[in-house]
Order: sequence, then structure tokens, then C-alpha cells
Amino acid sequence: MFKKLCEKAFPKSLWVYHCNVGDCNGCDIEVIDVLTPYYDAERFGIKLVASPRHADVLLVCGPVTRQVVPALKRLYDAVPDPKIVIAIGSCAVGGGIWFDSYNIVGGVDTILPVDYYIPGCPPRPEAILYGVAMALGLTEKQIESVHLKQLLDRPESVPMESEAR
Amino acid sequence: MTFAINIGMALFIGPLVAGIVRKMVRARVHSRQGPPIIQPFYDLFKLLGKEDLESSPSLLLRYAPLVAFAAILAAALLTPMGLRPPLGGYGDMIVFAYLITIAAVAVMMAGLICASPYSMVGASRELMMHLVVEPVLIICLVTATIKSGSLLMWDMAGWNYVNGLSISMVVAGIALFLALQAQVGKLPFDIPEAETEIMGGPFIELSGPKLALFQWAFFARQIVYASVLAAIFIPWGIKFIFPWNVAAHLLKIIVLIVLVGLIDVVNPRLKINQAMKYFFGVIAVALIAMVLALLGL
Ligand code: SF4
Repeated sequence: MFKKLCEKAFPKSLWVYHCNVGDCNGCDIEVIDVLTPYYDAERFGIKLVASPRHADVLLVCGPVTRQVVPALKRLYDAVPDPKIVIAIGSCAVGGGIWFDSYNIVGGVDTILPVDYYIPGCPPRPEAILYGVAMALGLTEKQIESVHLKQLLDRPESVPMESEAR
Repeated sequence: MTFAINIGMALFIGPLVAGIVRKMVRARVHSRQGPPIIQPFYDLFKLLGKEDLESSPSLLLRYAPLVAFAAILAAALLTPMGLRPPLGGYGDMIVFAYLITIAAVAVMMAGLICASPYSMVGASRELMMHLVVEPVLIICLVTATIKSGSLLMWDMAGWNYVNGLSISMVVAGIALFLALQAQVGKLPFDIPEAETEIMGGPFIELSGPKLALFQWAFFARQIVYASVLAAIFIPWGIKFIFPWNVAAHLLKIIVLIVLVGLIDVVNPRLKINQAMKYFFGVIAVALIAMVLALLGL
């Protein structure tokens, strides 16, 4: 029974740890925006904590640079279970405009198991709040994932732009 | 019966009052909605259900949160909360002072054992704060002892109620109120924890249940300190018949803690040397109260 109580309390009190793995600071500022009184993330029990050991949610911003990979892995281990990883910004989702840069490993999901993706460059604070609220089960998902049919159906002879390079 | 009241006050009213302060005071001042009132319970239960990362293999770290929690609960059993304290016959204010100190020492131990520079800084700050804040409490209680001729807190409260207000008790009460902010670790004096500066100080390496126990102990500590001030120095209502005396006490501590919360929201954090200076002033006020008591005022 006690365990059930603890599990029930989990989504009501998410403490987030925000980490920057090489972003341009645009996403950082939007994350800080969410925590201002105007957006009032605390009404969902969301709180910014300063130590990964207290955290339940990792907010990762930016493309993962080579230098930061070991630190990011250690950070993930320093968060006690159960934990959620949210990738914020186009860069964290898949590398963004730096996807083929020489010193970028890729999106966060190349290193950590990511639970939620919030795209945008930078995502608006509303988008971040919406993503987190969806994670908490407060709102419904509003768009379906689109199956890109035309990519599968395209004739073999016409190469995609990226392949042509 | 009194056991249940005191333990219940410390364990459940503590987080509840903290939630009320967060929603009604802090959020109101920021002009936002704020978290639900029972948010502290959500936080505590979530932390209790989380994995405990053993950030240091030391036994000291494993037991420090338990020691702090147990010491605060024992102190709560010695504190009059509307009724005669359940362990009041077994321990006086000296035992109380030691129990409170044990809790502070447990916090320091937890800070010193973890190999993080932030927790070291936090532990040393905790030590310094304790060294200047605790004397205020002791001197105020000694003042009450001199006046009432008893070391038991319930007798002090009763004496104060029967004999009415005296100058020395009023001055001592003011000194204790000035120290309350630091005793409960609220903002101008939350120097040991300092979330934005040294990231939670002694607790930076603690996770899950350990952190939960410390937080719960701190919520309870808030109630214990407020109860000492409310019961001994504001003796209104302690001789009411049964449910009303507890209700009066509850009202007093809620008013005190909301006041503390209000001061917490509108103040910036002081530096440790500024806090020291302030507390030497408060200790001086408390000493004046003691001298007045010795003069028979
Ligand atoms: S998504 Fe945009 S704002 Fe965010 S880190 Fe990348 S480039 Fe910067």
C-alpha cells in the first residue's frame, strides 16, 4: 500500500534537473522561462533542483558534443530511479542544424534513452509546459505521428537529397 | 492520547503548514497560483519511493537521517503542544536542547561525510549558524526557568499563564521570535542550505528516502520551535478545556509560521558574517531578558 502511495505521488511532484550538453543557450533561456511566475510550473509540482541526486526528470538541451558524452552518462547514473529524460529543442531531438557536424555525436537519444521529445528552435515555453503536461497525463496528445508514405513509395531511381550529397 | 497529538502535530501538521505557506503566502506574493496545499506530502512520498543511491558507503551517512528524524520526534514529545507534553515528566529543557543539537549534528555529519565541496561548505555553515542561534533559545529558556523556578517546559508555560506577562518574559519572547527565522531555516538565514548558491548544502549528495527523512524532520522542527515560542512565551489559551487548548495552540503556531513564511518571501539571503552580526545582537537582547529576570522584573 505504501508503495502504491509513493507511485501515485510521483507524477504530482516532479523535480527537474536542467542540463546543457552543448546548446546555444536559446533552449536554456526558454526552460528558465517556464519556471517564472508567469508560467508557474510549480502548480504542477514541478521544481528546479540543483543536484541530480534530487531529480526525477532530466531536461537535456542541445546536441551532444563529444566532450560531454562521459559527463552525460555519469549524470544519468547520478539520478535515482524512477527517472524521465526529456529532450528539449531540435538540437537535442536529433542534432538540429548541427546534425552532421564533426564534433557532434547526434541527438540525446544516441546516448540516453529519451522518454519525451519537445522539438522547436527553441521550443516556446508553452510547448515545453505542454510536453511536460503530456508526460504527466494532464492533457491528450493532439497530433498523430505521421507515417511518411511518399518516402517509402518513392522510386528507387530518385535519390533523396541527403543521399545525393 | 497526548502522544498521538504531539506526534501527529509534528509529522502531519508540519508539512501541511508548509504547504499552506507555499500556496497562500509565497504564491500570492509572486501573484501566481502555486502548488496544491498537500504538495509537501506528494514530495515526501515520492522521495520515499525513490531509489536510494548510496553515494557514500559510510554507516554514518546511512543513519544520520534516521538520527535527525528520531531526535526531532523525541523533542516534539517534550514540547508542550496545547496539552501537557507526553514525555514532559521525563525530560526538561536541557534534554530538549540536546535533542535539537543532535539533529543539527546529524545534518553536519551527513554533509561532512559526502565528498562534495558544496556539502562541506554547507556543513561548516550549519555549524556556525547553530553556534550562534542555539544560545538564543537556551538563554530564553533559562530566563523562563529563573522566573518560574522549574526546568520543565510545561511548568514554565503554566507559570507564565498564571502570573501574567512580565517584562523579562516579553523581551525573551521577542528575542526568540527574532531567532525563529533561522531556527526553522527560512530565507534571510537559510545560509546552510542556500539552494541557489551551494545547491542544498549538506543534502546535495542525498537521494530518495534519506532526503525525505531530512525534509520531514525539518518540517517537524518548524512545528517544534514554533511550539516552544507559542506555548511558553505566548501563553494565551493553554488552560482552555480539552479540544480548545489544542486548537488555540494550532492557531498560534500557524500564525507564527505564516509570519515566518512572509518574511521568507520578501527577504534576500544574508551573508554568513552579516547573519553572525545580527545574531550577536539577538543574543544581547536575550541576555538583557535574563538580567531582567534575575533582577526580578
Ligand atoms: S534547438 Fe535551437 S535554441 Fe535550442 S540549442 Fe538548438 S539551436 Fe539553440
